[in-house]
Amino acid sequence: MEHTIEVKGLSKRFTMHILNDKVIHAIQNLDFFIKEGEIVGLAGKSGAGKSTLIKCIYRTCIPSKGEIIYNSKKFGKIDLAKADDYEILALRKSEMTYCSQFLSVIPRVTAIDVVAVSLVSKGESWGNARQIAKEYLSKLGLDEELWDAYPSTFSGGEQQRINVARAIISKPHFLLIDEPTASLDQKTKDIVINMVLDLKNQGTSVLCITHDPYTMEHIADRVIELKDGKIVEPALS
Amino acid sequence: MDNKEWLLKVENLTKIYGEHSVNTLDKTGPLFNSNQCPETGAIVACANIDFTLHPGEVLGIVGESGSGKSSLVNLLFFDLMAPAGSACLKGYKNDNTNILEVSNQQKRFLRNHKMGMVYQNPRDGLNFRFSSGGNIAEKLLMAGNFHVGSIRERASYLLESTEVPVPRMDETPESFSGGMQQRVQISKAIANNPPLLFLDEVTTGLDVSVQAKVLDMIRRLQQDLNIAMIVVSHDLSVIRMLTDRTIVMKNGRIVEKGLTDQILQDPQHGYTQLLVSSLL
Repeated sequence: MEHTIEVKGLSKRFTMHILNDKVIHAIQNLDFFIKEGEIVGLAGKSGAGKSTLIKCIYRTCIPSKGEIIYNSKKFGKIDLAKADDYEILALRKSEMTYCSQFLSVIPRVTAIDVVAVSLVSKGESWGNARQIAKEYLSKLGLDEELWDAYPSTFSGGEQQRINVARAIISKPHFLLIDEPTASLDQKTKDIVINMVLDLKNQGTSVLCITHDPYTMEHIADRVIELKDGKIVEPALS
Repeated sequence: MDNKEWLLKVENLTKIYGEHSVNTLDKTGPLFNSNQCPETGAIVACANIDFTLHPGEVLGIVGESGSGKSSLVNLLFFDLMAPAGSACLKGYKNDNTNILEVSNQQKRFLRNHKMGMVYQNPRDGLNFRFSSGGNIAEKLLMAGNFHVGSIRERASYLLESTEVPVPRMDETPESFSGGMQQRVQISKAIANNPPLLFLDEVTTGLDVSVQAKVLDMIRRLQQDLNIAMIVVSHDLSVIRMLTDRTIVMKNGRIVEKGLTDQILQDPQHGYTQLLVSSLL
């Protein structure tokens, strides 16, 4: 089967010029791949480099070394480590989404619109996009009273649901998720897990960070563990 | 990959105030932490600025005061004159005409038909002796629209979409609050449906609730009308909210450009790192 993503020799170091050029090696020399329609879980302690890895792929961070070969539906093979800003923006708009740990709220935009805008930027009309956004929010169990409210005052779990809905509503070809179930109750956790599995069945490849053993067990086809920025080789069983 | 569409291409844009020598550009900039030439005292507002803006894109420009960010948009809107370098606008003449070197009459045409500008101070963009509706009408007249009925209709439509009470369109902006004045100014700037809009510190000095309202409106206009924008601000939250890509300027130079989330989370240049780490 085709690899959606193939990472080769990926390293990221942060050079902090304002701290006398102090260097932090966040991830070092990573090699791995994700097959089409596969969910790979990313495990490891805080500070192991999990989020940095995801950010390198999404290009919120600029990799220091290595290749990230992404097999785009639309544009063919692209090295995300070297792609220019416009290529990255085009991919983010059409097929690669990132669900971060925290919702960065835009003031005065309602919950519905925060979610709907992902579809609008793909060319859907506002009317349709809002309709579909409602379906997602209702599936995720977000109280209907909150749909037209501004998320800045929502609880952690409510914001998380909006975040998840926003990332999956456009049915991306490649999904990056950071702790999707961290502040959710068991029932909502199961709903999120099922929604991601649903996407997988439609061909989406997923890289998912989670500290939650339950989520990991139910979501991941395979787990990669990071320790001090390196992949821990699985013990032979 | 098909991403080579562009709207504005700026190359080598340079503006120096005062007498300069051959060494002026080499002896100023972030390395010297100065934009004043040690030999002649000339001030370098912008030096060798290169960037491309795509249709419908929102580009941010951040930097401290004196970094050249306002000069840059003022040069492109012809408020400042006689720079070196070139700027080409897609759809104007054969796409390859340097708009910085065309006649004043052509520059007026470009301002009236192809661009809009929103200044930090509403007094720079509005005529306070005219009514709000009159200000919008002025822009429409310049763009060649002479039908009074349709001008009034367009003015009320614009004021409505920027949430300025339409019944007050015959009042002068004098009697409006700062936030309302700013929204009238934006209505005026977009009256002729320009493909390109410059916004220079438009929310600076407004209180947060009004600021959020103005920003929200700008975002909506961008989404609905697909206007390309250059947003100048020293406020990183404004940049984060509005833009996809960002240019960081210091001492008249571009020190870093990239995706806005990358600039904020993985800044490469020491100055950008200082800027981001100073964020509240």
